[in-house]
Amino acid sequence: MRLVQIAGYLGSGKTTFLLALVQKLAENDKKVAILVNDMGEIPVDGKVMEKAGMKVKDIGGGCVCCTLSGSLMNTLLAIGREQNPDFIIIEPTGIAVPKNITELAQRVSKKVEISFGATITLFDTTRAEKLVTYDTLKRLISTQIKDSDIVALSKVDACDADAIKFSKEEVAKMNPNAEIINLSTKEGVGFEELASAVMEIEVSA
Amino acid sequence: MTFTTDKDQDHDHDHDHDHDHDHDWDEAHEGTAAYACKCVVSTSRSLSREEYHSLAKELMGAIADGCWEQGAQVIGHIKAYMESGDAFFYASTVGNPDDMTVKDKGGETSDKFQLTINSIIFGIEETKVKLATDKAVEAVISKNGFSLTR
Ligand SMILES: Nc1nc2c(ncn2[C@@H]2O[C@H](COP(=O)(O)OP(=O)(O)OP(=O)(O)O)[C@@H](O)[C@H]2O)c(=O)[nH]1
Ligand SMILES: [Mg+2]
Repeated sequence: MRLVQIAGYLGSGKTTFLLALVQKLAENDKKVAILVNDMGEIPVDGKVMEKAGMKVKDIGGGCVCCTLSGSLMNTLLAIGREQNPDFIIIEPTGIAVPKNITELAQRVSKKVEISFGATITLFDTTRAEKLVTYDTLKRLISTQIKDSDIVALSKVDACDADAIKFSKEEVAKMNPNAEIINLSTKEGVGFEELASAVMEIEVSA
Repeated sequence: MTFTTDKDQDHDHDHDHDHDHDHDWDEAHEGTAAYACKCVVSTSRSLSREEYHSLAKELMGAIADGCWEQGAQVIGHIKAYMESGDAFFYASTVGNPDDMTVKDKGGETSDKFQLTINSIIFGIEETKVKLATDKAVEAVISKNGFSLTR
């Protein structure tokens, strides 16, 4: 199974993108398993995805990149052994460090076959300035972006050209190697391109 | 739930990994606090879809305002769902009053709904997130003439 992470700060649009992506993958006859990790004791995303008719493995009450790392590894192992899907799509919490999740998955890949697809990180253009204003927050955002293959500048339908330009510059400073794509899941901008990247890209772990 | 940089929270080490424990997440999680709650609201009649949409927006806006008042620096994500009879409503905001989301999965509503909220905020502690969330919910529910059971 190929592991794809849809990462990015809180509320950046991960679940909205994932819902559309999973549908797209299903249309392409791909077998997909979804793993969501919500911040907070009561999971909301898992419920929303279930209501949208998706079967989701929901890990709540902490963060899979750290406090719940054991749960993440056990779940990946179980999904690999029991379902062996084409894709396992992970939506970590908005404060997770993608690299930690990749490392955990690499350990699991010694026990069950896992290949590594793109790590996609969303950067919310509607809050671009705020996200880089506070030092601790900026370090988190920067860590997330540094760890990604593709950065999607999200919600471009809801911000002006200046905000997109600013976002792109900030992201490029944080990760000069990442591919940067404008995304509006709401209006379909960049969606096909990102979905193709998910289906095509395989990185060496 | 508040994430801190408590070194005691380290993961257990009875496994065979070999990565260097630089723990990016210690700092990554700093400053973010989450509060979740669940309650039942009696509306005494069946509300329409439009009424649910407008109530959902009012709730999201009031919680966000409460968090800003408590000193929030960034509204990470405030999200909620309401279940009434067969109907399901989902609401969310990242602090921009012009870009709030409400979605629904239709169905008959009953004379009450279960409300589930998750507020995740950067820049204030959990007690303040809780205070802002609880206060806003109580205010909006009573303003609309409904009653709340925790
Ligand atoms: N305008 C606009 N809003 C969007 C878009 N995508 C998502 N949103 C809104 O942004 C908010 C957050 O979206 P989610 O998809 O829940 O974000 P998330 O990253 O999964 O959030 P967490 O899991 O809580 O970190 C919701 O109110 C969405 O409706 C988009 O393309 N355009
Ligand atoms: Mg989400």
